[in-house]
Amino acid sequence: MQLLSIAFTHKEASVRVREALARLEAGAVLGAMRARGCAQAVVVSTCNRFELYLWPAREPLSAAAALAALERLAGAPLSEGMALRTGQAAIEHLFSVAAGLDSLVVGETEILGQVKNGYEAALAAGMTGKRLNVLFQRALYVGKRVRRETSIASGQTSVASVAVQLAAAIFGDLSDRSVLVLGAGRMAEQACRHFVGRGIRELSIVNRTFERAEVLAERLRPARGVRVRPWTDIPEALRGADVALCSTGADRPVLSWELVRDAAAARLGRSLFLIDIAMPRDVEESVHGMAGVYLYRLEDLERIVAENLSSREGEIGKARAFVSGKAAQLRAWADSVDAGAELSLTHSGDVPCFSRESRAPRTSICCARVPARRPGRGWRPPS
Amino acid sequence: MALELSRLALAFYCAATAAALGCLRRRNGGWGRWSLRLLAAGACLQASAFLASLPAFWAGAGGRWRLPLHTPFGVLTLLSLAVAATFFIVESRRRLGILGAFVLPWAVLFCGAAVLASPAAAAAPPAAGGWWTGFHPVLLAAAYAAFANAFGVGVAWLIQERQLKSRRPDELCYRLPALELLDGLHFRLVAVGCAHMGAGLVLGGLWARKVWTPSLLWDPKILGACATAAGYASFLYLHSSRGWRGRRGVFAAMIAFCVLAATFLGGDLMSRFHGFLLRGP
Repeated sequence: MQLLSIAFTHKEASVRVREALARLEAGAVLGAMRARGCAQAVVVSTCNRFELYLWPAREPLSAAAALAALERLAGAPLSEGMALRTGQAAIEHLFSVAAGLDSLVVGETEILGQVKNGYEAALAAGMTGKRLNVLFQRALYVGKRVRRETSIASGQTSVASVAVQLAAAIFGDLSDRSVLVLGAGRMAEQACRHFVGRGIRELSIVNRTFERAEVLAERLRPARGVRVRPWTDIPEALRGADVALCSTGADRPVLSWELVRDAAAARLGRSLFLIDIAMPRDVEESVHGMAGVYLYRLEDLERIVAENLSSREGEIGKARAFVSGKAAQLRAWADSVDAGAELSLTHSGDVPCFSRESRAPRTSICCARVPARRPGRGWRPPS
Repeated sequence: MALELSRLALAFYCAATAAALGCLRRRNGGWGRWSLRLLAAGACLQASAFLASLPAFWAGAGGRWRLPLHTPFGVLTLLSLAVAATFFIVESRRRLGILGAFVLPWAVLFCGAAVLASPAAAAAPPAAGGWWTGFHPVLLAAAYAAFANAFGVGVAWLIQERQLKSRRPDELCYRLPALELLDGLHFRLVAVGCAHMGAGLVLGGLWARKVWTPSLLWDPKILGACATAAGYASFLYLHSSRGWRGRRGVFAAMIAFCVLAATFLGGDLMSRFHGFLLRGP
């Protein structure tokens, strides 16, 4: 028997197919596979992909049968855009997914947690066995190691997250920092969410239309320190803020050179980070020359995002080579299990090691200390 | 024996500095940890070298139970140890990892100079006073070490600020500690250095009262040390109450450090009372 992977991803499958699959409960899919005689199955479902990994134990479950079961659950034809892989190709694909190589934004880290969730759901449902346990633990290990040893996940890939990262480069821990947001549009909201996510002390929203600022504040409200201030409070708010994000629709600069100079003087030399993502500009360009004032405009942030993405692209080859090597190791291990002469597989080992029993050389490929499952209880990975 | 141990310590310091430089290029935290381990080993070896030089010094005239801090080897060893120890304390408290690249070259420099200087025993100068005067050079070495660390932190601040002002920050920007964090650390190191320097100068003054001669007032090293202390104290005042943070503050502290270096070397050549480093005891 060998691993079978049925994947519907943003690369091949249409939005219609992915929407139909996104509605499926993992438990229902696993139940359907169990009903068709497959004892080992894991579902990885995200907004961009739906993947089903099957490792039939005794009776082979054909891809067609699995697809028919999915179509019945989804209530729609799904064959369009389906990618079918078996054996090492399927292993390599899962490792690539976990490493973020198959993601829309290469190297993104959320996918690792989503793979883990899919695996844990299958564990809880008792739908994993030795092979899938080892496969998925290995996938999580490969995903982490690729991110650690290559620059595939380095740098932020959105304007808002780059702005937060730069703020951290200036202030370090942001939990004691105050952020002023001028404007209440979509870009402002995105940036607010990123800053709020870093647990800032205070977020002041200022907008010409006070009510719109209140609506935005309401949307962010569970977060601490969110407050709305009138437009006339800008000079005072700027003096107390560490970061000011400007995204108003004003046709002339809202933060003039004099205003920023006064705020900087009142701050006794503490840094002030200005982010201008408005078009036309909200902040006079010349303030960047002031000591302790750092002004980043939309094009600066976009350039950093582009450089980060390009740097990630440059690391793809290295990451793919690593993933291929690890997939080949796992394939060798799976074959050895089928042949009844199981090889050892260690996380760290890329060098041959010796078995204690036989003193014969063994290829060191095993990762997983997989404890025997107790009857009636799903195995839980060590925390 | 002392010389061999010092050479070994120098090798460890060099390795620690190389590992710290590795931190600049790679984001793997292992380099920082190795740098700290190598530094600790180097400091232990250098402390051993210092202890190994004691028996010969104690056997000499007037040296019993005192520390050989008036010989080039003794002073430079003490300075190197103080730089390493100060950095070790900063690093173990803040875990910044990358700062070693800017600070450890000082430890290498002082240790290298100590290796070049002979650890041969020298008799204690008769004017060296009682046992408590031994704290005078130790406190000043601690102050110099804090200022050297502050200088390194200041360099890191300037690089980080340049990165951010350029609007094209690279990987190094995200690996270096945050600007405000560096500024705070820089201020604290200078404050600690000033406190030690003040205490050291007071002890020196107490000793000077005992052996007072009018020429002491014009001793270049004493004048330079007072100017340095005044420079750093002004920096502390301007930083905390006049907003002299950032570039202005870092440059002011760097100028004070240059005065310190000139005092340490130039004053030593010209001073009648402190000329034991370059001219020997």
